[in-house]
Amino acid sequence: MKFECGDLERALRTSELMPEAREHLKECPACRREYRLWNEISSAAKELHEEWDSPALWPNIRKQIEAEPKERAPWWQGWKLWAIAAAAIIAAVLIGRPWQWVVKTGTQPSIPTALVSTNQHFLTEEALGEVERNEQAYRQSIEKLSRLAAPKIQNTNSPLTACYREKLLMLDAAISDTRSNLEHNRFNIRLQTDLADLYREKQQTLKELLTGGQKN
Amino acid sequence: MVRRTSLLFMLALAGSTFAREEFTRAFNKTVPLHAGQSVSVEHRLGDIIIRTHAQPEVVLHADIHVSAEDMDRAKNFANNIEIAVQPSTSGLFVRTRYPETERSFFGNHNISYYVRYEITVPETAPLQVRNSFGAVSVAGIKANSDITNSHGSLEFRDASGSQHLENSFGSVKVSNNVGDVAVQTNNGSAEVTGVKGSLTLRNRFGNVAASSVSNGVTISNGNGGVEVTDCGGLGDIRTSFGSVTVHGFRGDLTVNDTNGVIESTNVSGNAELNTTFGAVHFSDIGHQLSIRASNSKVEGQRVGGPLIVQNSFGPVNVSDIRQGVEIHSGNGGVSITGIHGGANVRTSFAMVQASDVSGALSVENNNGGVKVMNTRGAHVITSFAPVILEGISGPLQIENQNGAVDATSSSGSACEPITIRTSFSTLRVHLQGNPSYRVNARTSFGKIRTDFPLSVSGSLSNDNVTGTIGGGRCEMRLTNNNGSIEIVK
Repeated sequence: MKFECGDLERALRTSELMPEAREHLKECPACRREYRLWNEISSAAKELHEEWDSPALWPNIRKQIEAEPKERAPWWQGWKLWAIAAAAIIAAVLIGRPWQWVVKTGTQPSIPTALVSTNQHFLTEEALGEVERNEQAYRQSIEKLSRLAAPKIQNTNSPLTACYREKLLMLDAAISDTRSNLEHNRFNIRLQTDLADLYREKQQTLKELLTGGQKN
Repeated sequence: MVRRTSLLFMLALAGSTFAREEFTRAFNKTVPLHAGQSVSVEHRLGDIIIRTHAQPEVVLHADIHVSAEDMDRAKNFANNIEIAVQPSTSGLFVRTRYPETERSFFGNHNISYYVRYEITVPETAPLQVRNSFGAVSVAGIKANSDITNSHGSLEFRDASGSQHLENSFGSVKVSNNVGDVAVQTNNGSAEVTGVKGSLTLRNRFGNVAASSVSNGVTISNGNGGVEVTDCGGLGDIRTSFGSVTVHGFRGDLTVNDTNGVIESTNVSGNAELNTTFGAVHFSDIGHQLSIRASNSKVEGQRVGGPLIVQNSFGPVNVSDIRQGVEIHSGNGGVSITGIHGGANVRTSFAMVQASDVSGALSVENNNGGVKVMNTRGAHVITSFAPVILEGISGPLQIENQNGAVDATSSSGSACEPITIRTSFSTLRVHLQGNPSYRVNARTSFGKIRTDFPLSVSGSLSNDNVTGTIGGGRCEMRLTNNNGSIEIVK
């Protein structure tokens, strides 16, 4: 039997790799990388699993995975459990270490110029990581502002507030549209910049709304 | 614990240690296009640059850029991006089709891409473009076009034909078009210059500028400023929460703003400027100027026709008006000077000042002083504030309550009637030259004094005098209550 990349998922379900799989890994760098990652994550998950203090986590993860649409199942579909678990563990540990996640209200997302690729159209892996972390922090700060502004938006019927309400709805739609495109094109600098601009504008709009500022 | 933390960091950084590869593929195709056939382009995620030439063919060039974890994947994905070129009887249709992106081990899409077009089309071919997440630049089209973009700038220049341009979340710049231009934007600025035709521009949440538009400007904006320079035709500008500035308009102009300042200069026709909570500044308006404002400061000069102002809670200061003024205000001072024709002013709780009015002046105030200089007659009504008039050459009629009156008639021997009434304050009349009046002066709890020889023809007491000064040709009726009356030189 000729072993192919699509067979790797099935092969990893067994406790030990078949000889054909081992032969294939010698020649295929992509499968070798996936196999290495699988090993690392499996080890990490096994070690950290006992420290997790939420008994509902694993059932919830399993429920989430079962609820996932089944279409277009790639060969590594069965790994999702491990992948999500590992991501959840990493996130949990990192959240527990606040020095990693100091979020200041008013922080603005930016793309470090040193981290973009040479032709300035795509991010590098490192830059993307930084941008996505910044985006998450920025979103959190904007959500705080949104919560502060919510009573004013909902309870005031002045023409100015109506304008702010309209603008915020429009910005949210644009952010959603951009994020939807970004999901399939994460390294695209234009999309990342557009999203950052939209967040910046939303933050500015919320600030204006909260301070009662007018443009005139 | 240390080992565990290290492992976590290693895991977190595992993704970032992978180098990424980029692959670029060029697409080139030339397609013939017959006269009258159009070009349509439907695209997203990348710029479109369209230029023109005289040849009957469309020259397509696209740069397809893909970034992936390795070169094979990048290349494979780039090769699967399809530039669909579909000729039909109506024209040429160009569309970008992206394949589905595969998910990585972590469930992410690890491929990124964009496509940049450079298209050269016959200059007479009608053009239709739909794009998003990229800039669009079009130059040299000599036909109608319909361009819709979002999340990217839109530039359109050196064209002729009827143009319809839409954009959102990106700026629009239009320059030099022979023919009408319609622009619709949302959350982006718009700048249009050099249109030999009309401009219709709608926008929300962005500033708008139009210059050198020859045949009419209709701008509807919201939450953004408007700037119009050197345009002509009919002007209709609306916005809110933004200022409107018009410098140089050949034709009639209407501006409706709320919560914004209006500044308008050099309008050759009629102008109507309406706003709230924002000042109105104007100068050099050719014909009639009508201003309706509230909570606004209104000021300006040089109006060729009549000036009509309605305002409240803000001062009105105008000068050099050629065909009279009518100002209705409240809780705001009024100052007018250099008025050719009559002036009709009404306000309350603030001062009215008028000078150099060539026609009759009528002031109706309430709880506010009135100061008038050099007018041809004056009819003043007010209360609880002084009235001072100097150099009044026509009839003089003043009705005050609880306020002093000091009036100087410059009629001299021309003789114009004077009627003044007040209370609880001094009433003083200055006469010049050789006055000739039939005087009827009456007060209570005050004295009557005159610097002129008075021939008494009726009663004479400290508070009631009837007689004549000079020949007694005109009537002078002075009535006070709890205040003195003085007729002085």
